[in-house]
Amino acid sequence: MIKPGKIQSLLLWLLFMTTILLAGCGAQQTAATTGKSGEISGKLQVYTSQPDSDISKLVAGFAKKYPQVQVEVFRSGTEEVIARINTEMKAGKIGADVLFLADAPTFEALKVQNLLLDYQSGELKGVKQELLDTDHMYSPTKMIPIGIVINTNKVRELDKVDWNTLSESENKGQTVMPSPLYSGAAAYNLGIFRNQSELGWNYYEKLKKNQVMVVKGNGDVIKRVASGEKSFGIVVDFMAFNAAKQGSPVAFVYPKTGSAVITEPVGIVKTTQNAAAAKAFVDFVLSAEGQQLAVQQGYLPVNKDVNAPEGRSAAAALKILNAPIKKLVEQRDVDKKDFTVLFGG
Amino acid sequence: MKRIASWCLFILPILFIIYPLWNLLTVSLGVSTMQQGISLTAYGQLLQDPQLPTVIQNTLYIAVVSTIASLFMGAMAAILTEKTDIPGRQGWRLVFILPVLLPSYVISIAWQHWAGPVGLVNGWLQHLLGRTIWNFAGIHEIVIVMAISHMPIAYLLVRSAINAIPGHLEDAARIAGARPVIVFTSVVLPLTVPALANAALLCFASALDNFGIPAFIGIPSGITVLSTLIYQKVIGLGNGQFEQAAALAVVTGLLSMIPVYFQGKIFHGPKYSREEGNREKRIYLMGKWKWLLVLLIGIWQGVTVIGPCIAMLLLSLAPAYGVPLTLSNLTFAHYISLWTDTPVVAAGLKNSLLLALISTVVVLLFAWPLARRIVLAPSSLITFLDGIAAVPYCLPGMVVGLAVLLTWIHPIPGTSFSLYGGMTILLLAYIPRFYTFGIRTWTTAWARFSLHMEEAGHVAGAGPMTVTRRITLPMFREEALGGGTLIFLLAFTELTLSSLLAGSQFSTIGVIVFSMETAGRALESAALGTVLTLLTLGLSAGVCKYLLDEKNSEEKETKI
Repeated sequence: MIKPGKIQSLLLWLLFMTTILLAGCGAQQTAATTGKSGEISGKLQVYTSQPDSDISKLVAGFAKKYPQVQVEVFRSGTEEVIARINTEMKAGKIGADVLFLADAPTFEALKVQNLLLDYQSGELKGVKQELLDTDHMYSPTKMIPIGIVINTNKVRELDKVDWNTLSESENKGQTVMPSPLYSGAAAYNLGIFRNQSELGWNYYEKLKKNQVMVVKGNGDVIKRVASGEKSFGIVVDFMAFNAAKQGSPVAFVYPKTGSAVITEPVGIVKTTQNAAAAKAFVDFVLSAEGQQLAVQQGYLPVNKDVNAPEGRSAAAALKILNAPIKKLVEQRDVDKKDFTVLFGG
Repeated sequence: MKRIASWCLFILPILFIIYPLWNLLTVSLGVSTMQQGISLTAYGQLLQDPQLPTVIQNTLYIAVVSTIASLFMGAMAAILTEKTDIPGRQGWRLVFILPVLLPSYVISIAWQHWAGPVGLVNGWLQHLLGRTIWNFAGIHEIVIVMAISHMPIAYLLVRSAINAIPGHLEDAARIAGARPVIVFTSVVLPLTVPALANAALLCFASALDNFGIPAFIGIPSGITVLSTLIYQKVIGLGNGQFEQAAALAVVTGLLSMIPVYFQGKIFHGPKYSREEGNREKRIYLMGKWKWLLVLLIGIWQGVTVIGPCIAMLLLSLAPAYGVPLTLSNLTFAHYISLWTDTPVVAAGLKNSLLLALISTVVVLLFAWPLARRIVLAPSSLITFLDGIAAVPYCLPGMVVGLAVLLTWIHPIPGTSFSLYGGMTILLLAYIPRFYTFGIRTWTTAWARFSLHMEEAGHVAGAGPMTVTRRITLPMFREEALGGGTLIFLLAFTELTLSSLLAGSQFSTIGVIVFSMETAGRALESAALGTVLTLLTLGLSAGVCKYLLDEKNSEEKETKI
């Protein structure tokens, strides 16, 4: 028969496991609320496409300055964050206060839908005029060129690597790239390439013919190149430099033909309940302190008074590929649809 | 009071099961979007989608091939543990059930690091032979992982069929002069056919339902199946895809009805009365061969389950991706960063734990009155309700998830409050989905319970509550614990429903593993996968040990 002691000990054990888990979470919550009192307080929800570790360091820096604000982060690919916002609009309420996503065209589209709050941060002095939104609905925070990551065990001649290397038949099946259906950087890259006469949509067709692998995010690209599964990857620069710093056998090439550069803008949602905290967050990201933090994480800063990470060519030295932003916004849906047809989602 | 309870029994399934599914159908027909009447636009667009034929083809190919593989492996395993004198049988029985305890996405992660293109095995081969031998990427990898994770279904069904065969049938054949091999092939095997057919249907349905494996392995390699296509239409592309997704879900739902249709046609086999005749079962002596068998299944288990888990563990300890692990560079940094860099992990664990606890309690509680009526006072209405309760589990999870999403996402009329984004909408999906497990738990319990016990209680003057509390419930402890643990584990590691329903502020651990994996944080997701493996195995090992001690293995056998 059943010994009553047994079921009790089992339940106790379950309870014990539950407590450990709950204790871990509780500790973190209290850490967020204690600290010196400041004027700005309350909850702040940030939707971002930044890697988890980067955004959590940024939030930690912000929390030191504004200990009364409880920042919560939702992270996913830019396009998935937008899909999330569309879903939330159907539910009647956008959960985000601050959006911190890959590229300017994404914010242009949000601006057209009248979802953003007008805010001109005082910290924008060091930023080049042509990067700024004339309506002050969003602000650029970084310079993130898109280039080619290579596996150093497999590719020796870095100098020769350019966009065309990836479509050469000797490198068939050796390239991986992020999907524009998930990554904002990839969507931007596709839009820019389509407007370049020497690359164009044709380039993506050539990649398809060369059996390029399409994964969701940039992080997955790095993973597959670092492991040696693929030799080349199309990726945002900082991830490749960070992986190399950690010891992964990768190196990054800024192609001579040029790079699309995303600016990872930050913007405030119009329906925010905590505009004061949202503005403080935007200021912090753009401030010298926030920019220094970004540099430590391997990003090129948007503020020209802050130095680039050690050993990296400054943003000015790059050949930047450009296209009119209005055109990019109008094109994006077509881009995504064409991409789905060509690569099968 | 009794009347209210009866009404609830009837109304709750209609509100939380039938209404969402009806809603899914109407959305797919465009009824909700201002136009008057029914429109087939969404289905038309679907037909024009050049992707769709490939997607359906992929889905069916994966389902069929993985089902065949699961059946073969499961049947072999059942024969080995039940019909041979293989040493360490009790242990093997547990080992063969192992894959069902692990969430399929964890198996996917583990398998990729084990036998994927740059997995451990290919690394060894590269080292030994200077080249890799296979490239298990894409559809074949999905099939293999799916076969492994559904193998226990076949194993359990065939096993109970084998154990139900009365020994005297085999005795009769032996007396008539048949050699053991002939007895086995002409008596035992034919009697397992109905179980095999049932297992095939279940494996097929599970393959259609599965989201974790095609999401983790298929999405990166560009292989889309129906469940991932619905997910991408809702989450990936966003705007205006709800109608199309609904239409797709209706098609998927219909496809999943194929096995249910066949179920009715299957020969269910003779029912053996457990009381009469010789209860002892016959097993076959393998002689010296048994050690070879042990070696073979040891290797088999090592390759399919244990190896992958070790590969995942090793990767989670490596300093960076692409850097070989040595004793000196081994690090726990990724486990630490799960807690320090990613507050969502702790929150997700807490959320999933809460969801699982609440779902388990509510399901068991609400299943009680219906199960009681199924056993004690069956009527056509009760049977109908029992059938309705099974629908959310028979349909693919993605279909149920989308139905719940479309039904409860809109703000409550007159307010700006929506259930979407919180815990409630997840519970509204989890509870109907796992409801049928609650019913099965209690009906099994009642089936082996004599009513006289309760009557004795009433005669002794106890009220209905006292009888339930003091007599019925204590007797059902084993079933409640087993069924409860199953529901708890399923809800805790759930991914399919929550991938659609989890909001930005309330996520589940399954969704968090998924987003880590897509963000390329392979080392952290391997670490989290290892943590989840240990948690689920720890919990189920505890419960199994408790139940086994209870049972104290009363089976007898005779050797032939």
